[in-house]
Amino acid sequence: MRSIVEAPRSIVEVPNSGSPLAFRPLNLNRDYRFVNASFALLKPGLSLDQARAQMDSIGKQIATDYPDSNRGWGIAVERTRT
Amino acid sequence: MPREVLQGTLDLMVLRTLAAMGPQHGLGLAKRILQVSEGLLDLNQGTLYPALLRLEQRRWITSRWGVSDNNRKAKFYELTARGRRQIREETEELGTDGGSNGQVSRQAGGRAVIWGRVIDVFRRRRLDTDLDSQLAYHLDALEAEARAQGLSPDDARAAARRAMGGLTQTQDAYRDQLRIPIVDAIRQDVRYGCRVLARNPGFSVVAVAILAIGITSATTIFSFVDAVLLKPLPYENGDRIVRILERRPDGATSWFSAPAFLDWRANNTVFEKMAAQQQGTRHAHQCSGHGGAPCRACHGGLLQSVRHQSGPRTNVCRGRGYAGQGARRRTEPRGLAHAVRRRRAASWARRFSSITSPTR
Repeated sequence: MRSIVEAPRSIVEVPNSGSPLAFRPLNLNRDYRFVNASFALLKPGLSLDQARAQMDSIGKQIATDYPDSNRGWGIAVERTRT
Repeated sequence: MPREVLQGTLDLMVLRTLAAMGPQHGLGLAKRILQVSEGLLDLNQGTLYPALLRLEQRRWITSRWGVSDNNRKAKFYELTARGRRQIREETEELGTDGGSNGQVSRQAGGRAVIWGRVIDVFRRRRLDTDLDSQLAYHLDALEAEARAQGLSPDDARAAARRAMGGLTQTQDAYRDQLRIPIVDAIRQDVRYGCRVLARNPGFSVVAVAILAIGITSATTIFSFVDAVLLKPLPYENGDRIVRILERRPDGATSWFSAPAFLDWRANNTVFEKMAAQQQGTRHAHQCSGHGGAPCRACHGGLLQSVRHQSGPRTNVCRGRGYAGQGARRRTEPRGLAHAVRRRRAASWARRFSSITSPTR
């Protein structure tokens, strides 16, 4: 299996000026796993487990909706620091 | 007579004598005690003074300087209320005990002794001279008495000395009474250690160097662990910032696709903000901070994009926040400071990206 993870990084290089599009239509492809960092701020009072539970169900929904690219895949939510 | 028993007995005798006679100096006490014991007690009169100090430290007696019958300066000892209580307790104890050896109980006033000693540390020198003048007075008086009985000056002096017992022992016992055992032991240990180290400079240097290296490495390692693992990220609510990745069927985490990210952001209700970034570029990310519109201001890297939504919680620790940037751009010349800020922001982004290696 070709590792998608090692896809070249510089494909999406957005011009520094003007109005950059973060995700070009070209890159809106569920097989193309090129985004390597996602961070989120938990709402106050919510626990990591609550976030994980919801992201799990979202992940399952995605896997159901797009089996070609996402069957068996899930979502990992981790603390940035222990 | 064993020494300990003597000490306890002597304490009690002194207390009782003071209770019976009122304020009294050392010489008077010694005479009275010898008289009462009717020669049964072979008292070295010098031992009286450490005992008096001991009792004073327990605050059973107090002392003050006064003038004796023969118009000389003498230290007078007087029973305190505490001392009176002590006598009562001792007497009761003797009654119930069936009359043991009459020792003044050690526990009673044990804490007071320590405090008394701590206070006495500060007047050690004065107490020392006090002892000397008391001994001199006592000795002179005994000598005068012996002469009055018809002894030659030399014999009188010798007799007085005999009655007093060893002066050096008395002074030693008195000074022991002024020490705080732990403190003095530690001081001696330190002094000894310094002396040994000074004697072997080579060894000392090696020992100090090894200690220094050990302390340095321990500190360094801890600083590193603290910065990398323990401290929350240097953002307000840094403990609420989480990392989200995809999980492959085999369980390992993985990079993810743009549509997946957009789905996550659209469907979750647990996160206040969410942002993504592709390593190596500054702009290929989207923040929820702009109502979904692409963000072009997050030069400072990803965390900043998580944080920079306008509102009270938008303090940016590195680089610039979104709200402040336009204003700064307008008011500040594109000088060195600007370049430095940009540079710093970029390096933060690099550092930050390095935390989120896809293999983790």
